[in-house]
Amino acid sequence: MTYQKEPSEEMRLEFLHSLTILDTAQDINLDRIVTLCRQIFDVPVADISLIDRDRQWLKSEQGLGISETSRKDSFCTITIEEDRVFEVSDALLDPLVSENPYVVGEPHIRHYMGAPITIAGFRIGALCIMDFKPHEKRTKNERDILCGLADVVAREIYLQHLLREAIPVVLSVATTTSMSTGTGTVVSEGTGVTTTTGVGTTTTTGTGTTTTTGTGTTTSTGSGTTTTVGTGMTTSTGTGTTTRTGEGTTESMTEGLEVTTTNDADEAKKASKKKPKSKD
Amino acid sequence: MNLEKFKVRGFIVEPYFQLYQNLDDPKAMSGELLTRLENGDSAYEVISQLTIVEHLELLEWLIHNSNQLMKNFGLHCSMNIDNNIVIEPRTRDEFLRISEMSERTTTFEFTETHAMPGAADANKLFRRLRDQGHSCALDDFGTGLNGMTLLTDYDFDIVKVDRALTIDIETRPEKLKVISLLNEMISALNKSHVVEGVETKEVYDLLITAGFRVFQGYLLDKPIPISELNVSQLLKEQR
Repeated sequence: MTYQKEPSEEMRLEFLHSLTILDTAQDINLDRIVTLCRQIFDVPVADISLIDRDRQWLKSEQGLGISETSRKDSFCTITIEEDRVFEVSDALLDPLVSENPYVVGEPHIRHYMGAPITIAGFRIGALCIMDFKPHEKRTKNERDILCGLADVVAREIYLQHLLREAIPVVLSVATTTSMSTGTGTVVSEGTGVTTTTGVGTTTTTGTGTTTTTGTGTTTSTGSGTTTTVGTGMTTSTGTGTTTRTGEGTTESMTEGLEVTTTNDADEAKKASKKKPKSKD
Repeated sequence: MNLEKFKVRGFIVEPYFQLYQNLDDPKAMSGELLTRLENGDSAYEVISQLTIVEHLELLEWLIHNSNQLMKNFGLHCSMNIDNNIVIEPRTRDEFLRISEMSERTTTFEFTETHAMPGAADANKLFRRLRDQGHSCALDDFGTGLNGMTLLTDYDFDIVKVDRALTIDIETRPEKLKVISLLNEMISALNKSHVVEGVETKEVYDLLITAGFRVFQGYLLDKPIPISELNVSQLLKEQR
């Protein structure tokens, strides 16, 4: 069995590694979904497989008793080649997998169905079910259910990643003088040092030093020193020194000196100028 | 092996035990296995100068003590690991060989104030410790900037919140709010916590309102020399 190396494979691996999920502990919610898969499809084996460079690592696994295999022996590496469900009704009759060591040897897998787990456009792995006996072709409804559950897995993994990312932001605020923190829409207005940290829509209006850190839409308006750090849509309007760091859509309006602008998108770097408005 | 004394570089180190208070499980009987010098002073200075081989010997001695505490009192021990032990793959394997001798449910604490191996390697190590039945804790969380990536990228089971994060929460309500949010985030990530350095009733009460449930500190239980431990005393300590 071989897998097709896409041009974006390095980026896919880099993204997977940035999630820092490989080799982490079992997760109760992901385990629930794997249990559901076994129940819905009435099979002995289900797992969440993440495709690393040379191995598949199982974040959640039921029915096989293994935690990883080499990538070349993995069914799921075939699944992530394309954006569709990959199904094997009888492995012995399917030339793609009939030579697979887990088919010809223990535990003699005969049936497989997997749906890609896609985050930010990267197929990081697959949610799959397996059986030791062949199975007639799955219905469209069954394939849709597996895809739906794979999307839930993707979102759960992504949300947990975002939550971990947000913790340092919360922590940094623990040492700041005046601030408001929240989840959802967070707005704060102040004179002097104004700091806002939020997940969701975060807005800060201040005179003096204004700092806004947010995940989601982040807006900061200030006269004096204005600092905005955001993931997602980041807007910063300031008179005086304006610093903005953003990932995603970034908008900035500055009168005065714009000190640093770090942005992941190169276009935004170019577009960010001192003049009234730059947008990407 | 003399469980009561560990001799190294002309110093004698003795084992102490400090019980945690767990509001969700008052009978939890877990705490930290600590070390002190013979005169009661901190052994930190001496221990921080040890070589990796000496650290591994100390660890083996601690594990024997910990197993004894489990056997005699049903106590679950948490112990500090010098990060240097796990930086190199070779000594990491040696560490795993020794940790294997430990009773299940031992917790190994890695401090955030020293360098750790990369997240990928560390998570593999934690996974193997978990397979042995143990847990991994991030010690002194909040004392350094390192702690940020240690919490985001490293798969610790337990976060030991340093006093640095809880100091003056009685005079700064906004800090209490942040600590409370931090606690919720730690729980949302399925991690447990222990708040270290709880020394006053006022701070203790505020930490409870912030949602914390497991505490370690002089206010609640002092470290006791292991030779002076007895069951009735521990039961009395439990509120």
